[in-house]
Amino acid sequence: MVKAILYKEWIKTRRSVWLAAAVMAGCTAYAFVESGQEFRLSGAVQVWYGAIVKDAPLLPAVMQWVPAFVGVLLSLSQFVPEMTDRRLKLTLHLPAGEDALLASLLAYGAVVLVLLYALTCAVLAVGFSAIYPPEIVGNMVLDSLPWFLAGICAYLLTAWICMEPVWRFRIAYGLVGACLCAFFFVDGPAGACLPAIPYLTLFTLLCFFFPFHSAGRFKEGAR
Amino acid sequence: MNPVIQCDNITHSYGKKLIYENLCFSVEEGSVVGLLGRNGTGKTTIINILNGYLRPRSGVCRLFGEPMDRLSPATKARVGLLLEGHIQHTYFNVRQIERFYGRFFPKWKRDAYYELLEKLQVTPTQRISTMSCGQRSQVALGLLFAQDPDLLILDDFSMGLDPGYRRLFVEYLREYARAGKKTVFLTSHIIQDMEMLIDDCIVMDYGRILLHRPTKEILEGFRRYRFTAPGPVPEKLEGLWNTSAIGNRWETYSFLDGEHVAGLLAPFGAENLRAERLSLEDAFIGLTGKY
Repeated sequence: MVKAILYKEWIKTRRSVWLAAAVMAGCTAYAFVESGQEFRLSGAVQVWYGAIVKDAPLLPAVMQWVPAFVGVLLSLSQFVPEMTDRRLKLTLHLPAGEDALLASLLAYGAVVLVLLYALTCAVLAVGFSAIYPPEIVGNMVLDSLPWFLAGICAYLLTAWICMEPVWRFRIAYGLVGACLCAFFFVDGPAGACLPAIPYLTLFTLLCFFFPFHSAGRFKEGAR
Repeated sequence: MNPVIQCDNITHSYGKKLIYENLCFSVEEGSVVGLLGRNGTGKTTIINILNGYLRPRSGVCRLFGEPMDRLSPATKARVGLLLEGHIQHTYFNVRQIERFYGRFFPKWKRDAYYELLEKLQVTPTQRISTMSCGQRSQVALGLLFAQDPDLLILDDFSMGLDPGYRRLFVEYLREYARAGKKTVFLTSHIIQDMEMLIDDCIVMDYGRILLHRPTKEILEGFRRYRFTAPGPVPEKLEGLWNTSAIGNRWETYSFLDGEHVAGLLAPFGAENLRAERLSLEDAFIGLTGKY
């Protein structure tokens, strides 16, 4: 069952997955180009001073939104076709447990995102470790962790919104989702987010169950 | 014989609009049953309830003895479902969709799918989103045949099909149902197609079932009577359906024979009474009325 669902989801979303990979790769390249430019214009001493003493971020500000954008993109490409003409009925009619089917759909998206984010994070860490000390690179990875968690959270919340059958509820869920995602983007000095990461991870795991609520309403025929 | 479908006391409404009240019917194993009704009588609603995609206000439907909202995977594998408009996963191509569904069903008959598709002008790599409604209907039918379910539920299978595809669909379906002793429960707007296919008719009116009888009984026993009368004839007379007039030319429908109908109409001065045999479509109009 899982293999068949993965096959279906891959056929459905492969263009979006390649697009998401291209966006992540483009942003990673942009981060390196911008960092290199800063070294050339300001000099290594000034950049190091900024990074160590002033907590200047290594990554461009736009990077914080990219994982969430990619999460929403993947979720839309996966669940809008399911809800068009209420095709989710076809999926739920398959001879397998409905919860297991839905969990497989969500697990596919979450795994794709984790792979994309992990690869991006690894490339950034390896690249920056050539010019910064490990402590600063470690802080960069820690500080960017909430953004990647926000990406997975945005993916799950978008699935929750897409599968909701009633438009006014979708709008309400959208507002709730935006507020919840805001917790992942709280500013602070380097490493300040560390204590919050377990809670944000727990919350992201909790979001995995939200789409089941919408699917239940879809099954009941909510209007 | 065990009923494959059993609906007991289904009551449902959308807001304040009552769709059914205490609707009860059953479908026996091996029969082909058509659900006929005018627009808005809740044909698709009952299909949704049957498959657990809508919770009625009260009542329960069972498929193979299991309640509709808790169908086990084994029972789902025995039920082939065609959604209104031949909805399918349009991002697949012809080959991919077969590969996807084939992994779910233990009795999957790949050859049945490709045999049917050979008659279409489609290539194995053609995406379903680029197909016409008729071609898509054949893909959906091919997938149902390959699944080889014991019960087929088809929601408005003739929707969007030209006469050629409609006929093709009906002929294949009839052959499949008869040869495999399958149970089929279907709805359609095009009643002339049903005449060739169904053993039993359930005719729906707003909020209730008007009639549940074998198609043969309706075709052989239900008649239209035309007559003339000098004055008004009551619209509702016991045993007569949808009595109406244009000028002094009247028509009414009944399961009663000519002698009985003449007796019922005699007090109103009815003359020139003549009976006409009906097609299923005419019988449907006679039962539900033109308006």
